[in-house]
Amino acid sequence: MRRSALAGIAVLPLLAAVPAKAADAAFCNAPGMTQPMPLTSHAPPPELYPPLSAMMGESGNTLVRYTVLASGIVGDTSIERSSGSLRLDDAAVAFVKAFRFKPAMLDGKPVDCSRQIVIRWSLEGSSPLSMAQIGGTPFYPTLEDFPPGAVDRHEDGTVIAMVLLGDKGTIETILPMLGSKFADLNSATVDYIRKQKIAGPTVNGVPVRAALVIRVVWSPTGRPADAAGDTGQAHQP
Amino acid sequence: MGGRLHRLLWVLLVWGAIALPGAAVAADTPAAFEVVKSHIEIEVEADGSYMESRQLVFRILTEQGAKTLRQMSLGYTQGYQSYSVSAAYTLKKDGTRIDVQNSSILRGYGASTSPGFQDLQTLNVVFPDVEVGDEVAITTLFRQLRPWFGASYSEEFIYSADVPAHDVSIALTAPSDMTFRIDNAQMTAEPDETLGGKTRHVWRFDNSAPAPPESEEVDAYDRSARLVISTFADYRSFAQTYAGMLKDRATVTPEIQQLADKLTDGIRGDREQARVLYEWVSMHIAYVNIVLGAGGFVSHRAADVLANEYGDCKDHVILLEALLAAKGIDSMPVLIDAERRFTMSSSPSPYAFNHLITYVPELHLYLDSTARYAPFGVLPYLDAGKPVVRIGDGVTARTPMAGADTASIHSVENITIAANGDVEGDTRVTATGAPAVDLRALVEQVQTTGEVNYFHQAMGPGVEATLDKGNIGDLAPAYKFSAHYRTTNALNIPGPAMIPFNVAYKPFSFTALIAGSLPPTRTQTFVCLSMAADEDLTIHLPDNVKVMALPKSETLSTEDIDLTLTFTTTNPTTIHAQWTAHVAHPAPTCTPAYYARVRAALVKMAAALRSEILYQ
Repeated sequence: MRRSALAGIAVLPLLAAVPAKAADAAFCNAPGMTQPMPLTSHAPPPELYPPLSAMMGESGNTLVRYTVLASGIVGDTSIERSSGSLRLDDAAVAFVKAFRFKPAMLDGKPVDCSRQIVIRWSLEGSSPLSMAQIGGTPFYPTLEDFPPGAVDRHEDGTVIAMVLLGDKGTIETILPMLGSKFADLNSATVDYIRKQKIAGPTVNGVPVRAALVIRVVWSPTGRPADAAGDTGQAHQP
Repeated sequence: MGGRLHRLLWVLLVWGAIALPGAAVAADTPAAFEVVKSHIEIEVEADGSYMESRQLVFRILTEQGAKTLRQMSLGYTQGYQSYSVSAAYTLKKDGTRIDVQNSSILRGYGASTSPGFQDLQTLNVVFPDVEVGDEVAITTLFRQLRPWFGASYSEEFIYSADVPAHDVSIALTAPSDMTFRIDNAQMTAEPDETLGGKTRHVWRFDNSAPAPPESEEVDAYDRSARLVISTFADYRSFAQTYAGMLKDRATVTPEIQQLADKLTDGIRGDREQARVLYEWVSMHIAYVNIVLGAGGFVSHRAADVLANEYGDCKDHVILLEALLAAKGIDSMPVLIDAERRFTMSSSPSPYAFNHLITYVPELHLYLDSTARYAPFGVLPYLDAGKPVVRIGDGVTARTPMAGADTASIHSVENITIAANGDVEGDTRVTATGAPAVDLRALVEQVQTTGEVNYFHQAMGPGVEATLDKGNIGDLAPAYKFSAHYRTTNALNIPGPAMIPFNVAYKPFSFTALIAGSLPPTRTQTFVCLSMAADEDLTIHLPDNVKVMALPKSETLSTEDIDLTLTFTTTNPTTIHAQWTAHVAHPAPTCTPAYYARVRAALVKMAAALRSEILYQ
């Protein structure tokens, strides 16, 4: 499995797991057929994962069926099983369409044939850094803020939440957008944010209604040294 | 997009090549960079908020391109939007990737650090070691946390015809029951896909045959590939939403009432009262140059603008609205483009506009108090003849264009040539209408940048000149200013030789007014200004110089343009030259077909304007 820095994308080629549609070319492992030989890598590059899908936590498996034409390029494609995200499915198709092959041979002649591939879209293993890249004002809870037992269980992670501030600077709503892999940290995030004093934007010194993205970094080791000064607030360069 | 200064300079460039030589866009300039990849993904929620990723890769083609793309600035409004960079790097020609370090992504304030505007933020990304042939790549994540206009979504995407672009796609995913108005020019729409209550719309674009830019052409929006998307049913519904957002902003407070009463004390009639209030806002509220949209869409409250004594365009509009309301005069904000867009999208997107001005229904008047130098009832050229949305009544309309009946320049020049070839002279200029606005701005700018440089550019080296700025500070309909100048050895005496006409200071170029840059052909609609212009030059020669030949006096005409040149001698040493141009286009823009029809006549006019006086 190849894992990208941002997220995991794996590929599983399938040759004949699903019956062919009537209108499609024969599968490439048909009797007497020499299978096409890939001339390009079928390993998805890290940047294949759509950034917006990563941001939204979209994952799943896309099963793509495609025709390798006698010319060696990819012809028709179809989504045989969706990942649940049209965006991921489209990215899978765009990836497959760039494949190049030495074509399949039948009776000494190049022929069209059909193959399938599964693109696995997985965000497991995505680093806190990639989540941090979403942006937002960072907050670093102390050990006292951790849910009971979480420190002993060595739980850590980052939770992204949107906070709606009222016109008096009070917190009206907290909307978790992207969680860590620990449910208790995710739950504790809402309570933690409610206890914080959050400075929202003002107009002529008067707080105004606003929505802020908050990044809560749960780390038993506390605020990282290189985060010094990283308040998420604007400052002059 | 540029702001007020940019707008003024552009007008001056169009009709006054003398004023700022060499700054005009050169046609046939090779593309500075090309778009290798532009993948935009948008996820719109039911409430109109959205997330957007952009994966952009540019290849640098020229040194200018390297200069342009070495740094990118991403602007956003804190509280409404968030922006982050998830990847940025330079890809060298040899394949080496140099990542942008975090220290090279600088957070800063946006267009203004003035109190009240500090929610405007920028991310400045500085790419390392950028050279011609390299690629720069950036991936950004943007969130519109709260829509600007209620539960709506609007965006527009423009791909300029002069930039090569490949692998361009825009993909929008939204709830399937969300209805979009789409204005698509030159982009290929793919069949929609629907899954799980969401529909994905995809458009693609490729421009492998870029058209070189043409001088004086209209905005890329009017002539290039574009995609405008909006959930608003029409401009009227958008205007209603916007009006609701501005409701209560123009409240007449006791301070505003008191000021309006004081300013209009003894002045009768709505028109005169409106004039006084408009002039006060124009001259007393400093203009913070922030393009509408970049600085949000909701103004500060009128009372705060009055207290601060500064504001952006929407602040100007809201204060003027309150002052007018204090005297019982209704007015409303008007959305307009203050650059070079002359068409209105069929998709009612707020982002087609970048400026807010005022409309007074009972006077049928549009007013732009941010123009600073615009007399009451006069719009600058870049506000004139433009499509607008009136926020108060939802009407789409067009502002009056600047025509030859309202826009004029009259210049009287008197020069004396000494026996040794020295020249001394005076030029007195009177302008009305839109030219008065821009000439006031020009003279103000000359004072800032230095008269010496300005006159050297306009008249050549060796000139010493002083500028009397005239009534620059008031908003009288006519603006008058003058220049006095002296040039040593301007002429080679004895001749034979020609008297170049730039021995006299001229505030504008007849050739630029009539023919622009006179390219061989045009393929794009272009801006063509209308104006009445005349110049009256008297030359006093020394006794040791004789006039050998005068240019031919003649009248040349073509569609929309009449040009008359008259050259006479009133005595052996006095020459009187007159140029009169009447340029009356029916619209603020002209078509390539029109240009093809009239170009031969324009060439003759330009040649006639180059004629000089032969002396010995």
